[in-house]
Amino acid sequence: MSNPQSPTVSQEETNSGIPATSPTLATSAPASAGRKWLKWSIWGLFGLLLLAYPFVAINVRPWMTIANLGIILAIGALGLNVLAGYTGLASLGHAFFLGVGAYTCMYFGGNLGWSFLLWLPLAGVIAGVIGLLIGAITLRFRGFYLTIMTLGMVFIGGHIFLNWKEISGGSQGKSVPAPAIGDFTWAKPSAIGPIDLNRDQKFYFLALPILILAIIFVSNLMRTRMGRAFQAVRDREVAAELMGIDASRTKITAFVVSSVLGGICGALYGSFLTYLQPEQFGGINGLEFSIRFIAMIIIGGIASVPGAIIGALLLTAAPELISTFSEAIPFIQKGAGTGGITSNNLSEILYALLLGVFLIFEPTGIIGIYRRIKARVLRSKIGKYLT
Amino acid sequence: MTTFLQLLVQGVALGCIYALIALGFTVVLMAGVINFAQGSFMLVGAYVVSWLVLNMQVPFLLALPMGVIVVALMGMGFERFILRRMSARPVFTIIMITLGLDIFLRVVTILVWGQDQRTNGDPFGLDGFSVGEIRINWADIWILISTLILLAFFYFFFKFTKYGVAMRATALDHEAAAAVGINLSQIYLITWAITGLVATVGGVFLAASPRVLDSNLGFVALRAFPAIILGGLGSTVGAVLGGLILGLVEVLFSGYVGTGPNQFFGFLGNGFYTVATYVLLLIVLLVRPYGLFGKKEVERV
Repeated sequence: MSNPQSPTVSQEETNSGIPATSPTLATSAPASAGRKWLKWSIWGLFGLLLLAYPFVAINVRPWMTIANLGIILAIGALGLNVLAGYTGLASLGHAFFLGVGAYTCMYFGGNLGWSFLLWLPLAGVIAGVIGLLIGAITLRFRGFYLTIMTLGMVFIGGHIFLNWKEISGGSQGKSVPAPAIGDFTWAKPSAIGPIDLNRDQKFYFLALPILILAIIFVSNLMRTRMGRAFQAVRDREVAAELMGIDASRTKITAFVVSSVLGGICGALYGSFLTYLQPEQFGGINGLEFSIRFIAMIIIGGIASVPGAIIGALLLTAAPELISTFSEAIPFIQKGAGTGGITSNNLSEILYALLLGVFLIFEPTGIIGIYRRIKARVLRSKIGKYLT
Repeated sequence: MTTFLQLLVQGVALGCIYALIALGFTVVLMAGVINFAQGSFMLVGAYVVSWLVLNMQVPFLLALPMGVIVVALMGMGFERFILRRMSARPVFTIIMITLGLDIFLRVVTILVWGQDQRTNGDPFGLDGFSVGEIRINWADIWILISTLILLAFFYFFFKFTKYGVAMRATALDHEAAAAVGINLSQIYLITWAITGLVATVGGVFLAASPRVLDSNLGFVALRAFPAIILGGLGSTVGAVLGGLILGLVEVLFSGYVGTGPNQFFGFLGNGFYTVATYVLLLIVLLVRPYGLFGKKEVERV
């Protein structure tokens, strides 16, 4: 990269969908050898931490669940970010596609006993096809209309899940198969070479690569012609059409991409939880699940890949940590009927407040705060040594 | 036939409640906001009235206006201190802030009044009378009367009063309304006060016997969304008619569709009535994309 204007930096800036906080960022000096070295060593350290995490966290109760659920939900949050963040279409129906993925896994993995290598891609494909059909109908509507149509999707979808007893087990629910390739199954612990891995650790090493693939996919997609079209349609639909972008095709593509990622996320989610009830993806619970995904991308940072992941991890960790450490938090009910508020209510109210605070005061989310701090540091005296 | 007429009575009563909810949505929509917290407004209103009547021994007819005032002030406070900071933000943000308020109010209601079911404190109870074999509860009659009074009030308000006309102007075009001297912030506050009024009345009647009051009450508002689109977004008459259609469809479907005796279309599954309104909405929109009474939006480039 001999180009004096480092292309990676400038692309990231346009990608974010949010105007650069300061011009210094966009026109930063060419990456010196020192800075490159620093960058790579930070990434290497980060990778080592990710590898070491399941071995450090294994004996502390909530941390492995948080990591696994966080990673799985981050895949779905990335998908919603393509639709809501980059393309600007407010959908309350994301949970429906998670449900489609989860039930694909249940049917093909459970009823038919197919391999994980088949049902996971299939979960994405079926969710994508359903997304294409629904998108073709609902994306004719804009703004509030679209939001309410996606709300209807959650309600109608939930009804179908509940009544399709062959697949979902009806209101009783049904167990979800664990991923299995041949004889190697994720249902129980096993030893790989000299290392003993338990179920959670094995899931971690399964979900993390899938998340990384999803990250690479989404961040590359946003640099393609289609990715730019998403953002153009979001910013000004009519102007985008004047430039030759087919707005409805673009919107449907975004809808399909988001459903595919949602379906994959749902299959892994169901598989990790091992048992599902259809109410989890439809009706009121489905709506709340969808809202949680939107909250993830708002709190993490809308139209930002790292933002969606930070948001997913944070919103997964917070309720788990509150319920685990409720003993130490004052005013929380210790056991039924002892007064104080339940940890469930506390996490819900904190969640609503967090969402409100970010929407009102920090609409660019945690990633926005990070960008501001980064810009300030780069402008300051220390910044001279970093660039 | 008796079953049909009985269902019709129930359908009209439920339809009136949906009409009130839809009216609340439509009025706030005039200020350019879709209020997903309407359900929680109803919840808070119903709980305040119930608490005043049952715990404070306030007569019901006094408690109802007091509940209305509390919820109206709450709505105005939300508009003044939160929503006003959010103007010129994308639709998405506005939807999310009202969804956040909805969660917040519901949890606060649970914290203050607990999870248990309670009655709404109205004096009607299960009393009623019979016409032939059709049973009519006094509560249903009162729902109908209150809805008619409110609708008449709104008709005159929007048609003949200064503020009503200003609100309609604002709904048509915010900037043009501001340009001719309409005080927009005043109009927005009135909008939210009206929402508080219809939400409380709707909430109290929704919790009337034989139904009960618990923290799930507000979720019914989510089922009323099709009403505002069925009638056409932004049309008050449409919202009221949409609400009535919704109530009738829901009750008739709950009576006739299912796997029980004398029910049809068993393949649609039990509980299909909860989603029938959304299916109806889908069908209507495929034929008339702007609702039954809506006007086509024209966007200027």
